[in-house]
Amino acid sequence: MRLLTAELERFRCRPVLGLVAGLLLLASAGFVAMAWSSTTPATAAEISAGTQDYEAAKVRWSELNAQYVEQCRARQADGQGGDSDCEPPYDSDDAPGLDSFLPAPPYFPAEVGNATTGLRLPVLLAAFAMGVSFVTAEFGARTMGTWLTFAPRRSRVFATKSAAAALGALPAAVAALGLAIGGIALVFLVRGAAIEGEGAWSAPLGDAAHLLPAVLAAALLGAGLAFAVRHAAAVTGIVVWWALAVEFTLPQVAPRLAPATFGLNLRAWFEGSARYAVTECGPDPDLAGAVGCHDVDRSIGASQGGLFLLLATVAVLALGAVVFRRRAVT
Amino acid sequence: MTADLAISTRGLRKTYRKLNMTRSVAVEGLDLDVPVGGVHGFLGPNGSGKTTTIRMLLGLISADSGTMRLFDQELPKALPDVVGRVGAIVEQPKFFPNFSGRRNLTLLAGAIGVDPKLVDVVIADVGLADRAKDRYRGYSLGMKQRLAIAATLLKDPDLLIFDEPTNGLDPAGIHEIRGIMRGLADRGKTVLVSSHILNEVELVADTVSIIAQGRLVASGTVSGLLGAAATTAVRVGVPDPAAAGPVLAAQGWTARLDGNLLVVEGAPDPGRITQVLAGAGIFVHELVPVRADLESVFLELTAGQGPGTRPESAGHAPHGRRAQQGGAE
Repeated sequence: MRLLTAELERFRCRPVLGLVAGLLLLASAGFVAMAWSSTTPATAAEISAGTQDYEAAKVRWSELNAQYVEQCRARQADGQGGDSDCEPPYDSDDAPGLDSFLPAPPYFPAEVGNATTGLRLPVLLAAFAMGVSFVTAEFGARTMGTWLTFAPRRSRVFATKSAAAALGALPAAVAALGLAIGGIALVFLVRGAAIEGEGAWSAPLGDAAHLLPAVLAAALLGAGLAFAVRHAAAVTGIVVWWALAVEFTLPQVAPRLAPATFGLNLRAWFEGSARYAVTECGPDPDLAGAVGCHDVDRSIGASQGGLFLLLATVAVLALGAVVFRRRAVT
Repeated sequence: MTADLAISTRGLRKTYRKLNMTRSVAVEGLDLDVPVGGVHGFLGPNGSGKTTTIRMLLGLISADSGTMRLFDQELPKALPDVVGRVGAIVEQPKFFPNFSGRRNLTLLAGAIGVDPKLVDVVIADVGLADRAKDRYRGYSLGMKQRLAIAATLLKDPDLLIFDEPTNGLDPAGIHEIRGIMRGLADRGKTVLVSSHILNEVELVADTVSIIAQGRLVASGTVSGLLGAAATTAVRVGVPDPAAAGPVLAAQGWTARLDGNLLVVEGAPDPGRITQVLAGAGIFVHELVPVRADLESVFLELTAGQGPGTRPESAGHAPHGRRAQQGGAE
């Protein structure tokens, strides 16, 4: 516990980690600013322009109906058939509505949903970067040797440093989510807009509940990888290689292996399920002796996505632990 | 191995794999004994295995074979138990550059559960109180070394290991570090200082071990090693060395010219030289006994054995004179 406290203190003191957290909060503030913009009441000019557009659309709608009826009757007169009754094709349900031409009223679940969805990637990348930076800084500054002369049990150093990276990344993620959700709610209150709608609170809280474990996993992945390769540049290289070779190329050349990608599993984890298509070929029932191929949709669930993230994290941590225990420290 | 040894190694061996997949030997069968108390110099040419040995003792790298003991406890198994008694600086001190000296030490103090108030005490001990709140990156090399020593003092260790502590320091800094080491030894601590700067070690060390190509070539007290290498040579200054040479040779002594002085060997005592030369009308204006120093001992023992490691296949290098003497045995 003493070692973990010391590691958390070291984490807290690192300026670059504060910078990453600051950037994250800036992204959150961006979503709040967007909410502020979308809750701004429509100006008289916007209402006037929208009303004019509406009137024009209504006229056009009437003209189209009249034009159709006229052409229909002309065809009947020429004996070319057509509809017998020549009713206008667009009924009143299809008529343009004024709401469509005025700025949409703010809708709290949509604004918050945009924010929590939009923050997923930045938050996860920030947590990963924090895990990487916290560990590689020790190797880069060559302070790990000094640290080990004070705390020589490498397994403990590994465990506490990884835990500190994960726990240290969590407040930044919570703050980012809190700022986004709380800020948007505050904007709605200030604007007098209704905080209501289906899943107004349950949806963002559900998103947060899925995001925070993923943040822990991302920070641990970063720390584990950093212990394994020791240099931030090497970690960056691995991440770029993985993104190109596995996340992007693999599903193209071997669609059945799509479930091995973080992208698909994260989507499943956050959204409950994620679909991917595989091509299946077999005897064509319509043509004897022929082989037919068709795309089949498959999906993975949230639990499979979560399990993948868990196993990947455990595997990378195990690799990092083995390397750290066995390799010399300079 | 006994409890009066702070460090003891037997048959310690470490090899490194090179890029071409062959292995080079850094430490080869090292038997090192460091007695409790005093300053022990750990000497050797660059690449002779000093730092590798220290790293093995501290658990930073693993040994291929052999045994190591710190305060009679076997390493690396007992390292976590005994590391609290050891403070070490390996090569250049390493701290977080963006943190202040004080912040760096506070973090280390937290790791070992030391009262944070002690940080200010040890910083004051090494004379860094005025700069404690400055960023480490702005420290001079001497200040970095002093901060590193302060860090080792946090544990109030019984054994301090300083690896090349005066590298890059100016004469004042070297003098200061030497004073700190001596002061620690006088307080009952054991100080192991590795260095290739021999006069620095000679001035401060009580005992020394000399290694070359990963092997111990001599160990013992400084006075013991110097005594073993003592000579009866004398430097003689006369107005006309060319004339004095034959006079000295006639006595059966050898005399060779060294600059403007004659180096005379074989004389029973310096007084006899002045007597003989005065008898020939040659008057001595300078007479200095040639004193053996650690450098000459070191150079003799390590001749042709450094720097650098050697390939594993090269076999054992010939030893210099093995002079196991004095208190470190």
